Amino acid sequence: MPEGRLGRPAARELWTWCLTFVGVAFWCEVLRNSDAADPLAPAAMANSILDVGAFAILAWAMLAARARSLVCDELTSGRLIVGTVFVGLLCTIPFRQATTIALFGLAATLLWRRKATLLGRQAGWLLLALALAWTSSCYLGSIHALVARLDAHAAVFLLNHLGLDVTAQGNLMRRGDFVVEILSACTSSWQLPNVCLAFVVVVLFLRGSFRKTDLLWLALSLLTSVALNEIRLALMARGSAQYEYWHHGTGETIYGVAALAAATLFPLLASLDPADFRRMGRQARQQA
Amino acid sequence: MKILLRLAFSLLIIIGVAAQFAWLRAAHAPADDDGVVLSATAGLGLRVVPVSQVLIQAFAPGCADPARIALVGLDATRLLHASNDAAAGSDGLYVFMGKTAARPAFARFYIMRVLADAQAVFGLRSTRAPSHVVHITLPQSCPKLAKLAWVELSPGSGARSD
Repeated sequence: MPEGRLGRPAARELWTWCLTFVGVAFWCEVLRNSDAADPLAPAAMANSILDVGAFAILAWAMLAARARSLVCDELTSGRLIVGTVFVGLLCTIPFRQATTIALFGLAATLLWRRKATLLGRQAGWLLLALALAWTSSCYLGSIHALVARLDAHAAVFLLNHLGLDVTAQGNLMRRGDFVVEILSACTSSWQLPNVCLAFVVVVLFLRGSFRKTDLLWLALSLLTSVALNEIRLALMARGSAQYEYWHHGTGETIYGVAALAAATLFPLLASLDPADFRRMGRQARQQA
Repeated sequence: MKILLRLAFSLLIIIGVAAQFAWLRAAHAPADDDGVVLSATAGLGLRVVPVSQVLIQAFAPGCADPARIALVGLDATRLLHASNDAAAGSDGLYVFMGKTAARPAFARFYIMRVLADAQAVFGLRSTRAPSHVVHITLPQSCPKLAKLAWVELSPGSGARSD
């Protein structure tokens, strides 16, 4: 690794520091937001980390693997040193907003930087997807509120077609005396950033770069996520027992597994080579 | 210079982690939004009738129509619910951290929350900022309800939860 004048560290090392600052701030935020009585107890810490989601954990593992190769081997500049110090200072501020700015800033810099390596650009996409998934709950409240109304009407539309007398009023679904209110975390839009994160993680892991056709697969993945959520909401609105089953009980696990499977399936299909699809088509025709 | 920079960066990480720990120590206890609202409503001399986990009705002596009190998340989703249920001929009031507003000034509430959280980091507050705004729907048919000190319902208003 080359060293600049006056024994300056190489650019690669400074970028590694930047990523470390952001990573430490991210995981500190995760632990800090725990609702447990003692957030630093091992069980509470494990829960906090798992709550972030499998794809966020995978994304950080991939970022760690790419940390040393974000940019070409080059001499460092004073501007880069100042930038690294700025990112470090930003990450010492214990507010989610500060870490969010650092995440977006680092992602944008890596994606737009001409001297970023392929691994650097991959890290940029991962950081961008992480930032979007992480901040959607904070800053997209108005969108979720709007989507909650649409969700209520969509779920009621489904139920009415099944012959059930359910009505929608704003973000409420009413069936007789039973009312379900759709809050932000239950809206279809809530999970979409996480679906995008899953797509980015799986595609970059399997293929390492994006193709234009990925947009189609991503759209299918997002639509499937919305459809699954509408089905779950419709199932919950049927009555108190069904609500308990699909919101707190085994149904929640079933929905979680289905959502995870869908979020993984589409990027997997996207990562297959078109030649694989042609071969599978030929095999199917031969068998037919 | 290289060694110095590495030391400085390591120090920044230690300071960052220490700041998070300071936050945890200072501000982990959340403001008891529900408890404050229930006890303060009763303290105003009103009869409290819970409607759901998030909505209560408060009856004043001699008034048929109740005030409806809901905890509204700062993401405004529950505000939607509160707005849905607001009857015609009623006024809205929003209470957050010792301030009242006739309009849902959520941007201002959010800034107040961030500032309060910053105070908690430096030990100037003993609890986290509340995560809810208290939304009160006052019936116009009962003017005396409008004259009550609704600010008392505010979690994190200072004396009550600090």
